Amino acid sequence: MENPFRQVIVNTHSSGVVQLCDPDDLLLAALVPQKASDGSVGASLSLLPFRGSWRAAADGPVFSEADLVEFLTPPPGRHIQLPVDFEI
Amino acid sequence: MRGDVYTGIFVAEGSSDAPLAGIVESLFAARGVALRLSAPDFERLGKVSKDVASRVEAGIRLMGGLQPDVVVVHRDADNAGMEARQQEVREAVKRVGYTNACVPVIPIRMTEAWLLLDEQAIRHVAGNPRGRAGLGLPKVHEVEALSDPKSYLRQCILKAAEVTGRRRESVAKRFPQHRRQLLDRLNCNGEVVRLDGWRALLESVEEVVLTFGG
Repeated sequence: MENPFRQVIVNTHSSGVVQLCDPDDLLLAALVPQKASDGSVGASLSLLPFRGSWRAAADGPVFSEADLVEFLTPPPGRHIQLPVDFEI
Repeated sequence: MRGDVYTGIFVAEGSSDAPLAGIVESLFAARGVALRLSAPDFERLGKVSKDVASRVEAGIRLMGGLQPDVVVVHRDADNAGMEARQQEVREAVKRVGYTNACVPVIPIRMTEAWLLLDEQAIRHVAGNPRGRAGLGLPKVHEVEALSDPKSYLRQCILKAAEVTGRRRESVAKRFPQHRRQLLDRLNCNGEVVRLDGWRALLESVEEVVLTFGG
């Protein structure tokens, strides 16, 4: 390709897409409440890198598997599933 | 602490209690401490036992084994009483070798007591914000003495919806979602500040903020 993409940004809630990503590439969009200079509390959006990934600064906030449980487990109340002994 | 943001884990009693994590974060933020709580839905981790110690241990493992700055544990006082429940939480957390700060969130009797204070919010989640039907809400000093605030709240939402038949059934079925929305809308500076369970939470938060040098 003459002019290849240098970066592709995907915004997703899909557990399938998340599971297929290299954790190094993932950023978690999280709201962290912060106090503004006028004393009010507002939430600011932070894009957090995965713990131990190249983007994770030594002392910067990160996310971990604890934030990904709903992306890494089957949803509750599912209507269709394999017989228990077929599950991986 | 990572940079200027503290890390923590939130262990809720049930998955519809998840908005409490945001409430605790904003209580810290109001005192000048940026705290980010991871709030895994432990109900989706079938192999992790439901007790506080097992959940805290699992949460720390999921965070890569590093102890977070704060562990926040939500449990209703039920019949055990607030102090006994606080003690139980602190002991369970210690048992798994966790030594940093712990904030127990213990509503007196049930979390629903905190949701019975805002009539307009109840009418709103019931889908009838302009309704006039009397809800029979308890007075502020009575909510922590109700024997079953959950069923009380359920009845109040049904009264607020002012619907009958199938529509009433469908409102009744949506109670967990309505309860969650009410938690989301809980006004941290509203009547809740007059409740003993809430005041105990504020005390715990303030103690931790002090240890952080806030």
